Amino acid sequence: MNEGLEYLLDAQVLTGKKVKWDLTLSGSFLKNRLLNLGKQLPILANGVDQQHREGFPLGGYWARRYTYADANSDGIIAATEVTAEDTLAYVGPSQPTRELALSSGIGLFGGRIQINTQLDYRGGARLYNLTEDFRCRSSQNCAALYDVNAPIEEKARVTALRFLGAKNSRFGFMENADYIKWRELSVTYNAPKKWARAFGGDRLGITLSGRNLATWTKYTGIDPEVNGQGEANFAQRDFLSLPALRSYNIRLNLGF
Amino acid sequence: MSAHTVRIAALAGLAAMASGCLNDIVKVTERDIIPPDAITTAAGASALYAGAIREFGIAIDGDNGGTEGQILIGGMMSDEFFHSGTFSTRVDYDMRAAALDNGTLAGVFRQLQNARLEAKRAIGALIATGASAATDARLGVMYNRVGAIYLYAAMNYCSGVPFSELVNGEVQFGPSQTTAQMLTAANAEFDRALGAAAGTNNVNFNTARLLKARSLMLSGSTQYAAAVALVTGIPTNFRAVSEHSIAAGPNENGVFVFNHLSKRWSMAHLDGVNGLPFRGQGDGTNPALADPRLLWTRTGLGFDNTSPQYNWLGSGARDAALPFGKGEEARLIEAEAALAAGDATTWLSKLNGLRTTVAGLAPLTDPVTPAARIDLLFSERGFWLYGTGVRLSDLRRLVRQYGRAATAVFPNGPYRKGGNYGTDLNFPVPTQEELQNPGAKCIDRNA
Repeated sequence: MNEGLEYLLDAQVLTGKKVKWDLTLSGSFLKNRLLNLGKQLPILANGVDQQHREGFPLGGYWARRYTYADANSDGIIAATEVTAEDTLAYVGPSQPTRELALSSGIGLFGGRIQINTQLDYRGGARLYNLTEDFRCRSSQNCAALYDVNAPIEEKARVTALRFLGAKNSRFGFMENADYIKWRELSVTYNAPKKWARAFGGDRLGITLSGRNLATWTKYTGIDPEVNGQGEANFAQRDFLSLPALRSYNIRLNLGF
Repeated sequence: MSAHTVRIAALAGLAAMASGCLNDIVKVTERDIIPPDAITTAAGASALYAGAIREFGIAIDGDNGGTEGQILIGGMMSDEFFHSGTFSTRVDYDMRAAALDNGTLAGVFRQLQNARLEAKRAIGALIATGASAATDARLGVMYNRVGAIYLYAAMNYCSGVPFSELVNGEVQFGPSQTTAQMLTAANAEFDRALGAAAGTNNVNFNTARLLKARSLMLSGSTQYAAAVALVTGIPTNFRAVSEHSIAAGPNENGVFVFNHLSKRWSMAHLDGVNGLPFRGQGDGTNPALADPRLLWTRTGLGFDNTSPQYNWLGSGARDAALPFGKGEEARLIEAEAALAAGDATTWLSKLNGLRTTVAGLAPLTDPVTPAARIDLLFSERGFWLYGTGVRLSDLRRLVRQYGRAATAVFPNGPYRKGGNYGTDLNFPVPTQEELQNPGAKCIDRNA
């Protein structure tokens, strides 16, 4: 069952002859729950990391939770300083529960200059950072293994991942994947018509634009937006995945 | 009726006729697909039999690089192989610290169960289509395969492995079985194989005798005499094999593929302090000093681009059959039983008798002390039976039946990829199984 709210706010903030400013805010809140699976036991994806279970979001993350404490204050989290639970527990949804897009356009000098931009926000979801897990377990080159200055929670999650034996836990790598992305900024100069006519046209403009300009997130991987699995059966994890690239464009428009 | 309407009707009629003709013309018999209703025929039963052979090969040896089998996982957790790949799930069990929800091991476990059920399905189909155990050797082959699955489960996994059944297409979940129960189940299947298309010294008969004897050796010294009675007369050069081919990827010899081609398994040497010197004399880097039973070659780096890659030449080729039972094991069982009975002369004679079958092996001398004799026996077993999937079980037997400390026989100390070896002595029932079959989990993780 999906419950939620979708909204759209569209405002023309300024409508002057010289300056125009419009603002659009759109987004949604979504609560997803699997109500009834019949006689079927949990459906598993990605081992047991994601499951379809009654009462929980489809494809939610599951892991063995743990607690830790640097009991001897040596700045290292040993296996004896981590306590993992015996059973898997729900960690969080793999799909965002909150989405928001803020786009805005500003026209200056009677439309001669047009500036557009968009910010995206997604929140509520977790993302399994298998890339970092892989570096810590297989490649042996993650900072938490060697750097005494690495955050204590990162040291703990490596210990929980590797040194608890049967209770090894990936919980620490199922990270908060909230993010804000500055998706786009473009600046267009609309040239006078006589310039266009010089080229045999009736409209001429030049646009400078950039995409994926910045990301604000607490996610420790490269990008909280990636998915290395193409969302098969809700499968969602970051594994050596290429993020959306930052790009810059210059575009010349000549209309006839 | 207008001329336009008439034309449309005529075209529709032609199209319908053409469609009917074309259906007949293009109708073909699908020769490579067996529809479900054909499984009830003798040909269908043969197909199920062939499929069961293949599933067993995957379960024991592995496939063409996706899923490893029992020989590979047991060899990795013990001291036969080390991990030269990148899968972190394989690092876990190489360092004897496998999580209960290890995704790779869940696939291996599922394949073991799949192979058992496919063999049982083939047995049912063969019997339903009139095959008789007295005359059709395929039934003996299948009984041996089912027995071997129970046996490898007892050898490699904890005590408490569930075995579910497929009844009229519905899964009927089974409870966890102790190691003793698994061995009993294996023996029952081997007994069926012994009674099926028997004749002495045929492959089925010797396979059943050898594997049942192995099962009895796992049950403790009270069963050693019975084991010896079974293996007496099995030729030393006997081989019970999994067949492989390159007709389809999963049919390939997984031990060869994972070692030689994908380079994710590398032949070990003195693995984790306690390991045997499987690569021969010295530090195990000179193939000229290899033990003649275990020839190998160095081929640069493994898949992880870090670990040295050592390939075991005994694993054959992609399409080569690979033994899961060897006649040498019969002689080693006789030797072990003799030693347990206090007959060190027969024990040494059996060991040295084997060594005369391979050029370049000098006879052994008696190390005299009981502990050293056991060490020598299990070392010889390690070399003769390398790559047949018994090594992890041998290490467990040293703990369980000979009172050795696990730290004295299992790979131990610093692990080559960081950290220290863990404490696993066997493989767990995966959480994935427990989530589908509530309550199905290990009863005892000890040796």
